[in-house]
Amino acid sequence: MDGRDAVRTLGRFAGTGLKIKATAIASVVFVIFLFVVGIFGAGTAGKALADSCGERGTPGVDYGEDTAQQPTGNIRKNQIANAKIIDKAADGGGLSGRATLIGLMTALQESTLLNIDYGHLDSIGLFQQRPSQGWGTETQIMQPKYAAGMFFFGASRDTSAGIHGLADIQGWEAMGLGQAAQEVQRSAYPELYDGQEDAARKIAAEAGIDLDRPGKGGDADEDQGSGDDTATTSPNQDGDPDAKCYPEDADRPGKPGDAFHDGDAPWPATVENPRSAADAIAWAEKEAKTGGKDWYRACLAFVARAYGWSFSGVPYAIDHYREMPADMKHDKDRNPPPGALMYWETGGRAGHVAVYLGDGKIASNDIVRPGYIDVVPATEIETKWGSTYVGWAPPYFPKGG
Amino acid sequence: MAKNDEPTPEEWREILASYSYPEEVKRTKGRRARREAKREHRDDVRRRTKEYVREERRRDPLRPAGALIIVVVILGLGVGARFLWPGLLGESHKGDRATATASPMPGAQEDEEPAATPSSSSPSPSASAAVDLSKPNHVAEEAIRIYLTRNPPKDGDHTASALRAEPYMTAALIENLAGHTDPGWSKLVSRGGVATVRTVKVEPAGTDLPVDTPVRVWRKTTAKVDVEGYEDYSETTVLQVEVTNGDGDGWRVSRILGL
Repeated sequence: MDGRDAVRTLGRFAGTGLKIKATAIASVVFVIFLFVVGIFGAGTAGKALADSCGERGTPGVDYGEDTAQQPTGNIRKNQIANAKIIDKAADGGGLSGRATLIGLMTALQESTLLNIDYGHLDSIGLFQQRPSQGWGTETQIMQPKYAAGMFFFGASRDTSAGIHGLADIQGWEAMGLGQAAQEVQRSAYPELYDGQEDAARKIAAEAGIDLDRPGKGGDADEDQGSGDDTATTSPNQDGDPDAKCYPEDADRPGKPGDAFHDGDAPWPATVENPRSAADAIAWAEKEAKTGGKDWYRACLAFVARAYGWSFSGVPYAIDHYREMPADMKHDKDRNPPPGALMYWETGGRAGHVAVYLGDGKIASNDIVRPGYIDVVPATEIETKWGSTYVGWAPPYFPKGG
Repeated sequence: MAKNDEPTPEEWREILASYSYPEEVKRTKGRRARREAKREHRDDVRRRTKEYVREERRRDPLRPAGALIIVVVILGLGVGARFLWPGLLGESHKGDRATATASPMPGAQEDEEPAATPSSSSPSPSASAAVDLSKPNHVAEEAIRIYLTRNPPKDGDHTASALRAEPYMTAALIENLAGHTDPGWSKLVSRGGVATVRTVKVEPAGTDLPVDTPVRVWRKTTAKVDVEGYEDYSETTVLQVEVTNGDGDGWRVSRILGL
């Protein structure tokens, strides 16, 4: 072994040590990664999201999976037994699995699928049917088989008079599930039936009920061939539940007016501020980028500060507009010049004011982050807060100081 | 891995070209015997190579199957941690149930006197406070009190109060409330408001909503909300809430009408 061999061996040894260290570090990082994947991967699939679909405050009824909220013990046994009876009644009458699903959703909403002997007024049973309204005697309605039969077929399958069941409703197969239930039940809150779909499907699965069962034809089930879910409009069955679940635009309280465009109106000579319009715009934009949480409930103070004042001298934004000289007020005009002050009625005493930056944008407090300044389209005040645009005025602060 | 120490393909070719049998094999008399000796030598080399590989594998601490098992075990530990420690990702939902003792049957028309206690206390109740899920009226009251108590500069957005109410609401409702925008929140912010709930009155929901069952009740909640803002004002918010207790483990608000 000559000198070069010795150096090479030494280098190889040192390299091996480094490799061992690097491998050890990489292994530890990998183990931590796997652990975190295990934590986040468990039970985070879209199930809860799907259950949470629905209008604001009315997600699918969350009976949970296995443990959370799902009825257990005798209650669950009773529900399953009642589900089977409902399915048998539908099947016996030649109705499809879709009819069973509607029946289950209805009974879940009315009685939590329990055959209760009480209810509002004289309502009783699985479907909360009323003897006084012709649904049958108390004894009859308390028999789930009878109650289910009445729900599906009404008092008489052969007449259009009297109590109507699901099969009597023309086109029920093509209706939304909740809508079909409502056609029979006439509830004050029809929107609540759809929230029971997931719970109904879970019970059906536990009870071994085939909800895809086709109907047996005839008058009762004329549209059976259209498939079970063709008319289902439940958003949680679509490919992109998030988009369907929470349509933000639909939630917004206000509709935007026309877009705002830059106008060209030089300020009157009386408009004098410590800061020019261009400097005020630059200051407002900088505040939006780097400013702190100083502006909650301080819209008028913000626009005054933007123009270099310490205070505006007026308590409320809307008063600032009202007190403007008439020739400075531009009611409802949607072409404010950059640097103009824009005003809105918010439904409260104070109203709102923001600085127009040009190109349809404003710098406003609270509109995105409460307490901060953000640059947003001027129409956001209308769409997000439901406020009414009053007009614009030049940055005139006669009481400013 | 000492991959760089391994011969390159060219080096392998050189090695094979220079491959020669031991002298004793070459010197074997007779063509047939020499061929036999060469064959035995090749067999011997192959056998020794096999043994060498087997030995190396034995020494190797980690085989593919072993590595797979370790990966599965670590993943399993992660999953286990999630279930053993439900609050790990901010999910105190199930953990809160330890304090809950639910009454199995609220009665057909529960006439429980709502507590209606003033709520001048902190708008953000301590998460560690005991959560009583045993009475649907109490659950409805607390859920609405917490949900309508809002401090926009502190909360940031409308999801904060929904998340604070999490012990009293189902997961689907929390997700639903967080997923939708909230006009009530926007209205509060546009008026520069900070809302505190003075009282919540809970009473039966009336005959338009389904009757109480052992696992579900509907209640009408009437909340008096004080708003401190550009101007101070009070408002009354009436909401119909569904409270469910499917598994007998505690009541929770599952749906809210009137938001």
